[in-house]
Amino acid sequence: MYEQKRQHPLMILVSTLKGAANILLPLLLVSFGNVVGGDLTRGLFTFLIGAAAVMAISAIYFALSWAFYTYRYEEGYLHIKAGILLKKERSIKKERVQTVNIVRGILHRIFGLASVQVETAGGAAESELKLTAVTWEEARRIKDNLESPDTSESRASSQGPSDSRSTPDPEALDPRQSQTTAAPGRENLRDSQKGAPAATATGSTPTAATSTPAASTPATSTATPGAAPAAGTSAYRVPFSELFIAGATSGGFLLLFALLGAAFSQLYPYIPETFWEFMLEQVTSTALATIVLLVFAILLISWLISNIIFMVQYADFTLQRSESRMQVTWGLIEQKQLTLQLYRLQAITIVETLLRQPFGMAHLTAEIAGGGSQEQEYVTILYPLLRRKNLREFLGDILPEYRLPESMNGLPPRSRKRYLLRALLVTLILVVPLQWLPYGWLGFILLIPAAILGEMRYRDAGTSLDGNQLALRFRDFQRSQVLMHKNHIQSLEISANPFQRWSGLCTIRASVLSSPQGKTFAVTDVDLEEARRIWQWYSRY
Amino acid sequence: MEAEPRERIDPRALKAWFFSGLLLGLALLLIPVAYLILGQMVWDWPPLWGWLALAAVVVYTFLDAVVIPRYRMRIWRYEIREEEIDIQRGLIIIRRTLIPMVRVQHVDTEHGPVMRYFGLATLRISTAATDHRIPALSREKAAELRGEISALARVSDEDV
Repeated sequence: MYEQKRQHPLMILVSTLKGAANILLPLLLVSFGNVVGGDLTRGLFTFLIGAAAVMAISAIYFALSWAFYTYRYEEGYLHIKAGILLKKERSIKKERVQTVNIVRGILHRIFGLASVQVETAGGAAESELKLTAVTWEEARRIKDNLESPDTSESRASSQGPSDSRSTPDPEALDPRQSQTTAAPGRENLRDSQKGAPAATATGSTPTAATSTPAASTPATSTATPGAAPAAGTSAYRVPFSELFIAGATSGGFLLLFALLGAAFSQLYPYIPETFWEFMLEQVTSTALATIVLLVFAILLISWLISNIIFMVQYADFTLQRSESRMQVTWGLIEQKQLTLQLYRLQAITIVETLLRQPFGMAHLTAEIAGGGSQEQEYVTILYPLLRRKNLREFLGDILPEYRLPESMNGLPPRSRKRYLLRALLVTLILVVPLQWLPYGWLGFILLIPAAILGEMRYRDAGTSLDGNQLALRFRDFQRSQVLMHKNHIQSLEISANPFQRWSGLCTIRASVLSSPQGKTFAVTDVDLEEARRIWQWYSRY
Repeated sequence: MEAEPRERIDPRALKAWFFSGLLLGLALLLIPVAYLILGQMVWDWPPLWGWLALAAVVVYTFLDAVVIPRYRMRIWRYEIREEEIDIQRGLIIIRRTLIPMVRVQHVDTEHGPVMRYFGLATLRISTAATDHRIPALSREKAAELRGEISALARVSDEDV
């Protein structure tokens, strides 16, 4: 059973035919061009020669891939060797396997084959493994082998090897029939609910269903901790006034302004001359004033529109927390509802944008693990607007797992000049080429806000450790404070360039799992001692 | 954190990197050579640019094949402990990475033709969010580590 196996030789044929299907259309077009050009024989000739060449090359390629691709499974492992020139070997442990999909296309059905896709939680490239064509029995065997014996009830499906070629089965009419079963490898994401049936682990919980608001309304009074309809539930709802402020400061209007401005500049030539003359007479005689007025008008319009869009979009935004999950509902026209299993939450970020910070307001975003391609909606905004002073209470109610740090360890004073220099240098690189333009020297004025931004970045950067929670705070333009648990950090990196080494500073980076790929958060120019402390905290030694 | 990771990569890496750097250099050399020859024979291009490009390729190849591998070699360290993997790498910016075993999703080894000739392989370690590599280990060592890490990379109860 443990011998090194190859895929079914028909894999070469299946892959070649599949590849050919992609090539044939452009080839057909080229040949058709010849036919239209009046040269029928030449068209046919091109097509045949081209098709033959493509088929031959891909057949050779796939034959080599087939020959060099071997796999072997033994208790708990799947080993693969692959690669024609660049050789690869991979071992996948059963516990790490998230799902095993058996997919059968039309070609597979004709030959009684199946393709097997083994997926792990990896967000990194090439995280999955694919066998293009094996016999149906072999596919079943691999699937069973990668699934724990205790979840074997999932294999009790009627899909025996015998009906693999049968057509009367209504499902068989579907050319891409697929089977998905969760393997037990989800423990790294899930609470230790070992006994949970495999069916609940498929991870497709968040559903953007257009359900009635009835399910969410019972507890939707403003900030009512403990006013729980179901056991252990608390709910928060964004009041209308707050929503207005959120929309007003969302910054969406700037984008809209750019769009409207662009649209307007396109329309400009079509507006009749007389209209402008009329406008000029009415308002003022200088062209400059008109332009200023126009800009303000567009700005105001886009601000209003984006505000309305925001308010409609996030109307009735309600966040509910129960024991093991959170439920988010929002939307006026299209009521959306999302259920988020808590084990999938990897990190939360408190974001204060430049527009909102002066008002002491922030919003919460979340990094969420898993979620297949069918889940188009990744929840990123966990809560659209919060007052900074209510944050601690809010977290205590909704997410007691995360604590707002009492204080952050800031950066040492010697980091300040590096922050200032960096901000100024970037600006200089932008400003210096402007010197070839008239009034280019005005660009140097930009150095002032750049220096202020650098100073703000320096002051806002910080780290904090609290039990099993690491907090990183940093600013690009908006200020972000990321809270993550030790067991959600996938890897920790400390790096230093020669200048940083010289001053005993370093950059610290923590990566977490997120959808669709991992995310890394960094704080620059941290005191080496502080970085060591975090390293020690993360290390198991 | 105080001490550097203990293990170094295989000294044969120097040869392999020299060889692949040299191959790349030779390939790059074709561009200025073609310029010089064609420029002289077919068109009337000034040869100066060709010589400059040639010099640039030579300098680059020397750095890439001889100088940089030495530095890289000196900095590359790794250590595989029972519960974590500790990697140090870099040239100018030195990076130190810590990967807990429980976070490792899978481990690969891979080698191209040059690496194979020198009996080397690269170990690639993937977590759910990141990808890390230890280049140029001996093939046996790489296979051994792959087995070791996949055995150690168990799912622990501390996971939530």
